[in-house]
Amino acid sequence: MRVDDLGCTIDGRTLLEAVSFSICGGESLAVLGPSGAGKSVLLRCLLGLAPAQARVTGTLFWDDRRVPLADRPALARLRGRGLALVPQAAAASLDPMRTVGEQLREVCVLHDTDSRPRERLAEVGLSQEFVGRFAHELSGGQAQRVALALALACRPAVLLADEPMASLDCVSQVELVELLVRRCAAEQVALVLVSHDLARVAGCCARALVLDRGRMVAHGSLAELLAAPPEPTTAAMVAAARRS
Amino acid sequence: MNMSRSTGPLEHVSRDILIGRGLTVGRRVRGVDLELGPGSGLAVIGRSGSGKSTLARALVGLEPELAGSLTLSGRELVGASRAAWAGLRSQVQLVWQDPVTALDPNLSVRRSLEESRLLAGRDRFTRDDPRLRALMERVALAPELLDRVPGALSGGQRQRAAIARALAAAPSLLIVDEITSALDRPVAWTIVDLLRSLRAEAIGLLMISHDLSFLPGTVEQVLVLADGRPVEAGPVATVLAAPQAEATRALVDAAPRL
Repeated sequence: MRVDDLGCTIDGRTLLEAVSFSICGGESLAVLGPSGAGKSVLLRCLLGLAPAQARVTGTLFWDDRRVPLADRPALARLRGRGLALVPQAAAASLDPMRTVGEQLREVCVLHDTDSRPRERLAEVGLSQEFVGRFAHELSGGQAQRVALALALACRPAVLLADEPMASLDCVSQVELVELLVRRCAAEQVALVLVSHDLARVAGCCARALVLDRGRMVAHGSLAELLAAPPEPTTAAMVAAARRS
Repeated sequence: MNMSRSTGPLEHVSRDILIGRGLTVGRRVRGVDLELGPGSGLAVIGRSGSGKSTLARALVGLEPELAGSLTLSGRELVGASRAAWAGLRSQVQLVWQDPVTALDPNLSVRRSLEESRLLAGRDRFTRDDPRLRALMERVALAPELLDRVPGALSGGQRQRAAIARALAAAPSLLIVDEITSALDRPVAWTIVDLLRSLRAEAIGLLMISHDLSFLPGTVEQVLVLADGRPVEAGPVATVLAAPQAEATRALVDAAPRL
């Protein structure tokens, strides 16, 4: 997947400007930046889910296809088998009226993938009993795992994860990041991991893209960005992550 | 379990010292001992669901099931009237985790500060009270933001406004419940620096966190909860350097490092 010159404006306000990057199967890319930098908007633009009044520009190159990022129906067709999302508030993203198993089966039917809820749950470290659970019966960490199982059940080429650890305690954060990276590597899924916690993603993503107020201010090897931050936003994040 | 500092018999303790003995809230918190005075800093750490927030709510009278003993300046609060608890709130203030829901969305920062002052039973702020400006400066917010509603503030500004609201009650003890977890790290550090400056003004601090990097330099003592029970307590440096309980070790090992 290659994103070329992505821009997004709402009512004349620029949310994203000239964002370009590429990612291959099995790779992982961290999207970093302070709150309000445009990290979540970037994911929504790629999914064709930008706010209705937003004007999105740029191009998505998918295999040999060229998909204008303004073409929401084309992007909608890529959702599932192409791009899948692990949202920030996993518990709120689940259907409160239906069991985890029913939701997993629905995703598999919608995207025509292998429907075995118990196996999909085992892949994310949840036992069989979770098939019959409802969203309100899950802890924050368990809900995130279910959301990951739902996203992976689409068998996507690219997994977009929007601050999936933000609401978890630090022990659960470590477990979830390890799980994300392990599952994506095992299935050769490209991982785009949005986070504001540089220290948390430093060990698991090879490359990073730093956004600040909608602009891409740094892009490259995460190790190199850490060793020699090229500009103030990255430097501030590195300093805050190193501080104790 | 006792925290390391001991106090004399309760009738001799000085003002504004909060002492909990065997604090229990249903099955969520069991057998917690703690002491918090105007000069002291204590962190309560633990995984999600370990009872940290329940304990914080219990300490300001928001958990009806509270049992054990909780005294403020020697006066027992467990089983006390609502009026007795209301009296406590002028001395002990809680700042909540989520700055979006913690503030009334319809009230300007100014009105929130005035309301907090009123609820604490202190003298009212006048319309252009210089203390309002001073409160804003104390939390490093521009006084121009006094007339903004929370929706027109950033996450970090809202958390500062929530701290200013707590300080408007002129408390001697501040309880902060994961107040940096919704903020990005550079902004989170500015809030921790603010808490440190409040400690320097002799405000007692009980800090709930699962992020251990904010503890050293902010508080001296730490209490570790697991499944509602205290499993370890002691000086921050000792506990973090040589954790004894399994729950503490897991938290120390999971702390993000570069």
